[in-house]
This record gives sequence, C-alpha cells and structure tokens, in this order.
Amino acid sequence: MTVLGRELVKRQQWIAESDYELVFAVARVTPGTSIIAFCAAAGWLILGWMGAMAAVFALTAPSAILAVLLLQGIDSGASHPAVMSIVGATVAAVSGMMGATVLIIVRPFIKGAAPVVRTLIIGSGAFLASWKFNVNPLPILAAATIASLLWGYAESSR
Amino acid sequence: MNLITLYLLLLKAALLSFTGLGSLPIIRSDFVVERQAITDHQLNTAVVAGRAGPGPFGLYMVCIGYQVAGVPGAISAFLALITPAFLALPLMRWLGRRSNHPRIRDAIRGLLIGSAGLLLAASVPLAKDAITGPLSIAVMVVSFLVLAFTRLDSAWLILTAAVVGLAASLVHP
Repeated sequence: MTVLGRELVKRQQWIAESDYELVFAVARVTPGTSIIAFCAAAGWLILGWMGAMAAVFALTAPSAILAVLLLQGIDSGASHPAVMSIVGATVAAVSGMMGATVLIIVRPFIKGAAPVVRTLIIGSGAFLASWKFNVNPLPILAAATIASLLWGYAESSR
Repeated sequence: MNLITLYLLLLKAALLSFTGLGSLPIIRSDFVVERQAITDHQLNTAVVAGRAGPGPFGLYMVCIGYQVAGVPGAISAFLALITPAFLALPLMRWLGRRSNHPRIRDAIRGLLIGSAGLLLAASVPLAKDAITGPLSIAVMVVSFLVLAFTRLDSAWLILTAAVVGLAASLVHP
C-alpha cells in the first residue's frame, strides 16, 4: 500500500496526501485483504465506481488466473516424482510462512508489558479453544474482539 | 457443493479476516473439517499456488474455489474475495477519520490477535502434512525465519523452495 500510495500521491498526483491517509486507514479496518480494499477506495476517489472496479480487477484478476493455472500445473503433474518433490518443498515453505504470519500479525501488539499480556491471553485463548477444544472460529473471534474491547475500555478508564 | 454456498462460505471467511491468511482457519473449519470438500493437502497446495505468483495473499481462496467446483468455483471464490473490498467505499463515507478511534482499534486488535491464535491452531495439522523428512523441516524453518525477519517477498520463498524440491528430486530420484 505504501508503494502504491507513493505512485498515486507523488508520481501521478491522482489523490492528495490527506486522501491517501484516509484510504490507508479505511483499508486497514475493512474486512478481507487490505490491499484490495485500498485499491477499491483509491480507484473510487479517482474515477468513482468504474475506477474502483477497474482497480480491484487490475490487481486481482490476472494473478487469480495465474494462480489457477499454477494449481492446474501442480495437479496435472501430481504423479511425477519431481513435481511431488517440488510441491512437498513448497508446502513446507508455506507451513513456515504461516508461523511467520502469526508473528507478523501480533508483532505490532507486543510492545510493552501490558500489550504483551493482552496478546498472550487473547491469542493463546483463541489457539487453545480451536486446537484443544475444536471450538468453531466464529465464537472465538467474537470472544477475542469483546475481550480486547473490554481490555481497552478498562485501560482507558483507569 | 453449489456455487452460492461456496460463495457464501468464502465470503464469510473473507469478512471475518483482516489479513490474507487470516481467513485460513475459517476455511479449514468449513471446507476440510465440517464438509470434507477438500483435504489438508489440497488446502496446502491451494496456498502454494496462490502465493507462487504475484498478487495479494488472499488469492489462495480462488484456488480453493477451483478445487471444489472447477472454473465456476474459481469465479465464485474470486467474487467472494473481492466483495469485502467494496465495503471500503461506504466505510470511507461513514467511518472517515473515525477509523482511528480507540474502540475501533481495540476491536480490530482483538480480531487480529484472535485470528493469529486460530491461524496457529490451523497451521498445526498443515505442518504435520508438510513434514516428510529433514529437508522439509529445514525448508520450513528457513521460510519462517526469512519471512518473519526480512522484507523478502513470500513469492521468492515459494520459488526457492520449488528449486530446492527439484534439486532434491534430481539428487535422490
């Protein structure tokens, strides 16, 4: 989003710096993939609905087609030992990346003692509820959201 | 599974996540555990295909749609992937500068931390599927370290792992 923002604000000058900040903030609170929301919002500011549609499709459609083609390639070569070996190694890489993603998600929230405790309690609670007790993700996410809200409210009223 | 159900299940996963892989625990719960529409291995392969090329992280959803219902499934999943992005437009009008309000930040923080815990739980069975020997463990650890502590794009990790896998198959055919 930073790279796109530089292109839109500085190089092309299609949107103002303050608009970029608004688009960035809204993209962060929009559910789903932030970069897609960012493109929708920036495209809308520039060209309205057509701009939003064009930006989202330009970002996602070509790479979605490529992803499906890659998947077809993997599936069609699934019985070949070399393909099996390649898929095995890439699946291992993805597993490592998932662990790293967990760290990347929580990293902004583990600065200072209180935020670490908050993150540990909510995060490990969600992990245990899912892994140990097979609780559905929806109530876990709802509980995590409510717990964080209450925690923030308690902190601010102190 | 019909296309509308596929769309709605993937839309639910997308709406409840704020990062590309944040939707993975919900997708695994719905498609692997509850409906057995795909296996853990297929889920892993979908993430690999989604990350091997350029584009946003959430693209693996399109691959899941393809695995469940072919090209129509991929289109249905693509629509589910992009639908939440258009929520940004009314949010710009209604939320505006209030998106930095402490309560909203607290709610999103809770959702993100919860989804991190869920992602960790979902990654356990996927890691079990992925570990086949010392080489896969080494690839997993290196991928973790590189992604967590450098700014290298994950697509390069996937490509490097593919080269390592190919080299391993040539050394030990």
